[in-house]
Amino acid sequence: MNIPLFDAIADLLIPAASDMPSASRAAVGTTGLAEVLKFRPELKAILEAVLAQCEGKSAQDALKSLDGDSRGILAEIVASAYFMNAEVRARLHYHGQSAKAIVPETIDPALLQPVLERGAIYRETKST
Amino acid sequence: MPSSADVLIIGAGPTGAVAAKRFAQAGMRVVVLEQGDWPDYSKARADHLDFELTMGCHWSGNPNRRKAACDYPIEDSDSDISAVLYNAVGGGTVIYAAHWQRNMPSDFRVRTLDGIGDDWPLTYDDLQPYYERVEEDFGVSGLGGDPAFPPGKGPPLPPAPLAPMGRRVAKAHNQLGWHWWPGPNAIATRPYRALNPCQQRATCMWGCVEGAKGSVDRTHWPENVRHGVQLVTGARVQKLETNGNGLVTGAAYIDRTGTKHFQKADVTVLGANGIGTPRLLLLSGLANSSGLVGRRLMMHPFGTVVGMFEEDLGSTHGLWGQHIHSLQFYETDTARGFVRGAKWGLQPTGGPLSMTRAYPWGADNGIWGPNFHSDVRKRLGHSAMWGIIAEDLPEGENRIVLDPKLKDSDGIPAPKVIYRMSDNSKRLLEFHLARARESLQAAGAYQTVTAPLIRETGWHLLGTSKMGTDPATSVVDPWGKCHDVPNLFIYDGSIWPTSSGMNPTATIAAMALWCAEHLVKNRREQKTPL
Repeated sequence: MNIPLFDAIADLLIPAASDMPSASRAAVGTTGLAEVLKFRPELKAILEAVLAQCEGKSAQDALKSLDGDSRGILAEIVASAYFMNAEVRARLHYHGQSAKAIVPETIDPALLQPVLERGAIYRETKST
Repeated sequence: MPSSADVLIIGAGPTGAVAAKRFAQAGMRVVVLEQGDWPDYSKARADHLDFELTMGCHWSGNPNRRKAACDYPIEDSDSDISAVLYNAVGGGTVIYAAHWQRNMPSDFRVRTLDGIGDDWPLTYDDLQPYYERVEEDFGVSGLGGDPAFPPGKGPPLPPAPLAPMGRRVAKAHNQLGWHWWPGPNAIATRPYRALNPCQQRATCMWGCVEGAKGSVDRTHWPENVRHGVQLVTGARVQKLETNGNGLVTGAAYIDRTGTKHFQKADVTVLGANGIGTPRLLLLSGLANSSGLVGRRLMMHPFGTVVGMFEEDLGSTHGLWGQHIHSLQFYETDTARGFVRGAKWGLQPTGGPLSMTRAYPWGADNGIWGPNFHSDVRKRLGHSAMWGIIAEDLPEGENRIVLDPKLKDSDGIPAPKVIYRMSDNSKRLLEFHLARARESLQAAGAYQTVTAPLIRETGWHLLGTSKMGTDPATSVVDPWGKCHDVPNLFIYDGSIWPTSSGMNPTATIAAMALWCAEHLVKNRREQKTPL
């Protein structure tokens, strides 16, 4: 697999920002990709086929030449690898879909009052 | 397993679960054939690093994508919407969002009120006690007194928190004079029977790791089995067989090893959803003197509007599920240029990978490139989504047929979905999306993003074996009995004469109980083949 090309395309999709690393700096082509393929091994052949279409082209030309489906799957793999990176998650203050227990909430009656004051909004129908 | 059952149920989804419970309570010998297995919650990854990457694999609702051994393929190239279902003990409730919406009274009187479609042969008042009973069993949370519905008993569990997004939108709707109410959900907000309290991971549709969602693999089937119901998993039904008197004698099925079996029964009940049920009837050549089996398919076109807010709403988390709902524009107003309406449910938007996807950000989602990081930050935790369930009308050309070429892994012809959105549905959805944008803007959204129609959202499969009193214009009677076959019953969403604009599980469950109760009461007069 042409990882340098993958990294170059990944950086076009996810470039660096002042406080965020680019895709390649977040190791999407190495540990990130390995992690993605560990969980989704079926993506390996698909990615190889997409990258094969890109061979011999610059990253920009390659990205432009891909059809929507190929571009979509490539972007999904890049973003998946990126957002599994611990540094990226920390910078986004994202800690996964963690548990957050429900705290019982008494709904402010003043918030419900206008809804109740407007009365029933369903159409009456005859019973059987 | 008994060699002959009093009742054979095909499908272990919500219909089969509710019916089996009632039959078992009445002391009947019940056998249930389910082509899937028990859900494998070891594959629920909500609390793992790879959740967003893998959520659409094992838990995908599209059988063409999931391709589990128990799935049958669905040919959908002639459909605007892909069907979504789940073959397992629990059926569609394993992957549903658990929005628990009763139909409104007008949903039962569409022809009378709006001059289109059909009336149901029962009313809201008839069904109300059955809603109340199934809501106890499903562990529904919410707040009674919603003025969108007639007075009556409220849900057994308190509502989920409104959350910052719900409070914002509620205030906005109060200013607009629009309806909103705390969202009813089949999600436990405190320990309740077999359910644990929700932990607000916003992963309800992709394997609830807490055991908080009221899916019938948790709320019904363990208890049903304890009460003697014989549940056979990995059992794919090929065909219903009949005797010389035109009565169904039982079902031929194939187990996972390829071995063929036959289950005899006095009465057979279909609960295989709006695709599986007509497929089986067409395969069996039964109950179709009206020509309506498979026709009048309704799938609820679905669109979303997302609002982005300066405030951190914490919307990576919450219920998926709905924090509030709105039925402001549910009833017909012909001045809008269409009939019928839609229900809105306000939901979180999930984690960072979900900020890059077509659902709910639209197929032309331009997040990649120089603005990637700023756009992710604008969306992540700062966005809230109205999901809009649009009512579609019954049309004969929207239908399920047997595909002439495609077959499942046992060589049984696969279903083909033929479905086109009507002009009424298009106008309806366009109107509602525009109002939903106004709602979120009034709540303070500085930007909204609209996904006008999302293809893989055919969760609600309705109408393909219509209920009615006239055998010439319906497949089953008001209690699910096939006009043509007096010991064959259909209890699932196939029998709906019109679709409502609501998430249908509440009414599917209540109707299953309504139908089952009638059969129990009248079983001495029931014709049987044995």
